[in-house]
Amino acid sequence: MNCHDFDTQLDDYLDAALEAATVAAIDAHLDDCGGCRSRLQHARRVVAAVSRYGRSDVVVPTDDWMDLALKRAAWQGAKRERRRRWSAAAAVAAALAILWIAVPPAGPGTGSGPASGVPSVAMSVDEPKTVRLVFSSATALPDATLTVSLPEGLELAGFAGQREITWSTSLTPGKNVLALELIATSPVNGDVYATLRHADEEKTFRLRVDADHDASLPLGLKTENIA
Amino acid sequence: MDSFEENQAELFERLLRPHMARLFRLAFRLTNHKADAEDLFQEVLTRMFTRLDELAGLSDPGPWLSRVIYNQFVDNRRRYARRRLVSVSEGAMPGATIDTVADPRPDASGPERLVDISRLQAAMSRLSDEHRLVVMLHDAEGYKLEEIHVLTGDPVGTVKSRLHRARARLRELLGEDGTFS
Repeated sequence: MNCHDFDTQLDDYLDAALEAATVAAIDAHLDDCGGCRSRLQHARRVVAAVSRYGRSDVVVPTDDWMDLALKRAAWQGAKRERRRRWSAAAAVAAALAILWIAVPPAGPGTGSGPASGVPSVAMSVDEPKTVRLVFSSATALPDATLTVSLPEGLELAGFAGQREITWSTSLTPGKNVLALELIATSPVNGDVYATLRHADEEKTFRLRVDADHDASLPLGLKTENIA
Repeated sequence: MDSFEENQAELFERLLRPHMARLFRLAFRLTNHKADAEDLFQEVLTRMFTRLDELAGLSDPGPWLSRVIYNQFVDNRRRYARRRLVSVSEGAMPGATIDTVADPRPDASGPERLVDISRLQAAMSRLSDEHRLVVMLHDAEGYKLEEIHVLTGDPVGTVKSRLHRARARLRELLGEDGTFS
């Protein structure tokens, strides 16, 4: 046992996570090494301080607050459960529609689309482009999930390197708008897919993206539901 | 509430109450902010009511409840990311450092202890969120490595490595000059 060995096993020693033979070897080393004894003492002080700090810094709410929290949870939970049963049934009949809108609406890079009818957007490499995803829902849809899948070379701002991003969301009746900032890291001619799931319902929508080093083609702005 | 729901509420309270203080402390450790901890705690309680049958079927609901709180916290972080997509003007993530801790009440008075608490807070604020969480759960809340593994889903070896690195960093930041007691 030397000082380096001691350092590597210090935390296990503190946590009594070592076998007896190793503990005995460390104890023997500590008898002869003032530096390691000092480091051990410091380590114990730090752990003790964290423990003391942990006892002191959390203000657990009063019993009254806890009682109220339980009652509120029961009341809201019951209400949510009733609403969930209702909306699960309503969702089956709900008409979902989606619209990709490139912004600015009539700016360069957007316009009448190709004959395919697929909404599309043109952009330049390394120039962020914001598109707005507009969901129209006949009813409230709590706890829906939205997945956006991106083609090679296209990223969502804040999610570098991720080709698929999923998050939870809740839709309110009427229009729900989500802005997505797209960035092409290389030339792209591919499709972005957005899939909205709620209960057993699933809708997938597509946006065609054409990203080049010089975006000049006016591309379209339409809707398509491929689900 | 009808009588069925009232019976459910009674069962709910009986099952939850023994775990509430520990759950709240976990919410605080995750969010590092009292108001956020209260919101997270309330949201999880409300969700628990809709999963009462599942809860009632557990012989030891503690670890499961902790896991639900952790998952809700992670989900909220994802929702935050979604909101960021909508708003470009939001500031930094709230509760990112221990400087925002609510109502610190050192359990021993005296200027030396207050200085230590202050130094510890400053050192904690320089740890990553992952390291801070592990060291607080293990050394302050008494969670075992296995419990943190169950909570976060990270392998025990990873949890242990984070704990050791976090402590080493704290030791470094707090110095070994004997002034920290």
